[in-house]
Amino acid sequence: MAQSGTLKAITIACPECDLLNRVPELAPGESANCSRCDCILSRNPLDSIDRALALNFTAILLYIVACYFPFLSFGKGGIMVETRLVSGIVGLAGEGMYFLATVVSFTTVIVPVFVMAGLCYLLLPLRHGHRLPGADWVFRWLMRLEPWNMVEIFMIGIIVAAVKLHKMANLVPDLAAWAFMLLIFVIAWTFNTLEPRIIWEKLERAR
Amino acid sequence: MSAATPGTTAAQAGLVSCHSCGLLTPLTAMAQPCARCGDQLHLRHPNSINRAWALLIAAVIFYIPANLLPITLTTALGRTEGDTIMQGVIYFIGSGEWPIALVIFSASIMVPTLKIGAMTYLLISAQRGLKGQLVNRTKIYRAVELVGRWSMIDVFVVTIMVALVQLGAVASIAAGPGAIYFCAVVVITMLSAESFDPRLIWDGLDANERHE
Repeated sequence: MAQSGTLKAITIACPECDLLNRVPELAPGESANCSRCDCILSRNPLDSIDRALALNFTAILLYIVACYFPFLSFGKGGIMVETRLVSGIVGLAGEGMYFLATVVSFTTVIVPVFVMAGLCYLLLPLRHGHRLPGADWVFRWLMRLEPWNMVEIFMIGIIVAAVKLHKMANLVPDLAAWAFMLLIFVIAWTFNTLEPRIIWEKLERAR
Repeated sequence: MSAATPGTTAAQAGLVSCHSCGLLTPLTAMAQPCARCGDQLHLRHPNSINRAWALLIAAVIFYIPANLLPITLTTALGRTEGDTIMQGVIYFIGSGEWPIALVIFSASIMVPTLKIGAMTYLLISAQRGLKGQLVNRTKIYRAVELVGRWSMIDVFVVTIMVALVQLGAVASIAAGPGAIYFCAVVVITMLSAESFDPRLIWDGLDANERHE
């Protein structure tokens, strides 16, 4: 189903300064900002739902690669240690650093998985004008948790750790490191393609 | 863009906009959940200023041990050495890794410090209902929201090194107590910024009563 319609004119209260703005009709690709504080009020990305879904599937595949394969191999002589995302978390927990292990697993596993699964749950049926139970709740939490999705920051962490350790021993970036690298762009692109207003209006119609 | 642009706010028009979906609802129907998304309606984030202050003060307290205690404990050939955040930066400068030194310095020292300062300024100015610098204060708020999460870099670096450097007697790295406090500072300042309602910046201009 094509999504590239125009969005109708509407009054929106700016989420950052509360000013009531009359937002004109938005053609695909257009956006509107608050006349007082310049906050983005509404956008009309091309094929928002289809593109967000396609990007989300890409992200899921990359994330599976990022979890399954090691991202760095490190060692000296005969001993090589391979590191996966999960082994870092397990290592912290093994040292009794439960708080750190919890925060790292929340920001690099729990939130990303919830966001990717939630987008499928929400957007696949919505594409055909349907909604599944709890869709409101899922989308609300998707938007609220999005800042806590820190996969891209983890990637920078990999680079810094690699630079820090490359003098100590042999260091080889593995497949998962490239998957993380691509995830940075794919996740950012997914959220750039997603316009909450389009989703809420479609959810309302699907009720 | 001048702050004196005329216009009516939702609050002045007797409307409340949903935090989650943006739907406008008359203030009289505020007790019910949002008709579109089912979220609880609030004119402003509840207890915004108090919550943001409480979390900010907690972050300032944790910020001290975060910087004084080692974030990594490196054991090499039987000798254990602790490194604080700043020692990590100095190490990178010493070894000529300028770009990495800059990344760590920005993410772990500059961003948290500026963020604590910025939140203090936003809270005090909103509390006093100051009418100046409205656009700039909104921009500061956006920057805090956008950049704050990047301070997690160092926590991830520690995680990766703990997992990676386990070469038995030759060398091993463990997370130090400073890492816990630093991680707490990042999480708590993010929560503080989330609690702060940027519309309070503009309420000083728009109305004389405070909505909390």
